Amino acid sequence: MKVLAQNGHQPSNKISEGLAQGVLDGLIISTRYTAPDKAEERIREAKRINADADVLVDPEYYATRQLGTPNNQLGYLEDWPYFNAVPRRDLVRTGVVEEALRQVWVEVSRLGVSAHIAPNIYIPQSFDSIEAGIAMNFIGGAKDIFADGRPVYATIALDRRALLNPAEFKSFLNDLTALENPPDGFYILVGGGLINERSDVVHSEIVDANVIGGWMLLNHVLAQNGFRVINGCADLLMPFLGVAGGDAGATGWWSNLRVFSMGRYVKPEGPGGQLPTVRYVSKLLFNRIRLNELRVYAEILPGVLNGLPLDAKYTGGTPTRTDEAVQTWEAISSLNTGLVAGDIAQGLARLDDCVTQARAAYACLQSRGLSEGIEAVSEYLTQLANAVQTFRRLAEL
Amino acid sequence: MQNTPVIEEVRRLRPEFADLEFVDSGGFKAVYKATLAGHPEAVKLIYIPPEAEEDGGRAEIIARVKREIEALRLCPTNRLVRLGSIELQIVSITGRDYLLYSEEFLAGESLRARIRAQHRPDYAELRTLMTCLLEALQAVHQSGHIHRDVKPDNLIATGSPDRPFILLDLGIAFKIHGTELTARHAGPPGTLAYMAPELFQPNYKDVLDIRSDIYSAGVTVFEYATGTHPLARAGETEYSTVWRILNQPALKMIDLRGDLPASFCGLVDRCVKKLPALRYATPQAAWRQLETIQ
Repeated sequence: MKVLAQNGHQPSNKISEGLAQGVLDGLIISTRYTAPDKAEERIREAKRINADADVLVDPEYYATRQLGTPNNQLGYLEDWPYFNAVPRRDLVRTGVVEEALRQVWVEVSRLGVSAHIAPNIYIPQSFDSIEAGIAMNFIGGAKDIFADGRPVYATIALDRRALLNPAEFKSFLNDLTALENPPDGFYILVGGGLINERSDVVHSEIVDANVIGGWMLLNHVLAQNGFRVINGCADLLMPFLGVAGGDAGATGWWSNLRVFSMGRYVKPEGPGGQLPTVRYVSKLLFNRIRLNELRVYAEILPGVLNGLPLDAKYTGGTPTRTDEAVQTWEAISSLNTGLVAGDIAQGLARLDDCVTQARAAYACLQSRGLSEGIEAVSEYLTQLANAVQTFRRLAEL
Repeated sequence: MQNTPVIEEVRRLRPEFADLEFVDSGGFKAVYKATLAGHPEAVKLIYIPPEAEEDGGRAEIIARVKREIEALRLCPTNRLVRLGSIELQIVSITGRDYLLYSEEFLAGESLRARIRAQHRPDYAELRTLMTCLLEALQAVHQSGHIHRDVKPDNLIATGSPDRPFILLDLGIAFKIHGTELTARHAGPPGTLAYMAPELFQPNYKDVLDIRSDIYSAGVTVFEYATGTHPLARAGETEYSTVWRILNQPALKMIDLRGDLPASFCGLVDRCVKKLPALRYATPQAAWRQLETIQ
């Protein structure tokens, strides 16, 4: 499973380092953080480092719902000519959807992307909704409009709650896999949290067995039907989605690039807090831990360290933000390599083992008196373990 | 069938029918074998009850048979039964109305008969069956129809290398985007144990597509291969079978036929998934997968 950078605020040299060190397979450029006249430069820079890199541009059309709302923060999006608010009552007309697709196409077709991400609106709550119907029209029209021979990934951006109604979700899947002229693949974003909710709330909503199991089913169904699937903001869930059939996942350096939320397009209430501390992704713990935790844990359980090249940045000094980002991609890439198997039963068994080992490792640390935050960790790992079971049931495996 | 004409009545109606034999009857349909211009054909008579005149049933019966014939005409494949030389017409036999037309006569036995005889097909035969069935369904799909009654009784094993298995009976075929022939509140037609789970939904006509036929094809091949239905149990009530179809995981083919390639068993198992999106999207997609299996 490929690992892509989810581009965002303050990229500095993070992506170029990730590409240069071979832990990234490509990137998804954000139009919110990239001005129209800079996009091609970004693409060329990535291709210069790795000519085979997958470079895509997310038009973030789903954020048009925030246009005109107070306290929105849309960055460069409003500089892109296609980024216009179209009322929902107009989008129910197929011709209006085609025009919206065409406007994005005009802008992105001039870029040297390796594949296109076709736009879509956000499905805020339910697959049995007007928005879901409109989204299906965007998907159904993508291949016709984005027609220059490059692969086309249609966006499916949805709120986690849509995955929680099995009957509506399955009905959506049945319709999605029966389209007459489907795209080559899909770019999936699963969002959580309400506007202005903290990112840790969003994270806990996404790390839910039913949400992950549903997200895995979405990957599995699409892969079974011959589509390629890229998962945006997938972070540590990437191996789960890869085992289910996903081809690629993306993650970034700030929490809003690791987990998707429409709240990212709204200014936070009150003053901004401190930057989060630098963390390390431990494959054994299947978790992101603080530096002081890493040092203490590794003394008891050396396996907490991944044994990968970026470890040196943590054991030999103070890692930078770039090191932190590259280490995340390195660890997830290694997890993908170890867990994602061609055979789905084997992949699921490996996921089970991986979560069991993480639980065992935390139990070992707890037995040595290191029990800070253990309840949250235990709940997190329980959700991951249950997600595999949920997926097995949903996919009739 | 009610009011099945006896051989003599049919002979009086059409003296040119040579070697006339009664073959089978069921529902409103009776089938005879006759030689026409030197070739054996299956002559079909469909009874139109007089009471059907009052509630619009007569028009529905005629429309249904016309649709079956139209579907066969639109499916240019030798994996489906071919139409015979007698065009559809209304005839009267002893004062009762019937629809008359003919199909080619197929010598051979149904898969049902072979299952009853505890025939154990080898992989080569199963692969051939699956290929023929998928080719037949692809033709049905391309013509804009859904067969809706794929089952062992409607597949004939001919013993001919050119046409080893032939799918019969598009009598309840559904035309996508076509005019409805039955009331919306009517239950789905078909044979319960071979009906896909989505057909038990009240709005089944809105969700019906070729994947329902792919499900029935999977169940049929599974049963032919193993002698066991993947869900239904012999002697149980209909509602128990429906419950199993809707809720119970199907048996895995590899567990009953470990001698077959695992990938072939997986292909059949995928056809029997409850969620249509988990099945093959088209018969052609399944056929392409089958081509990769040695």
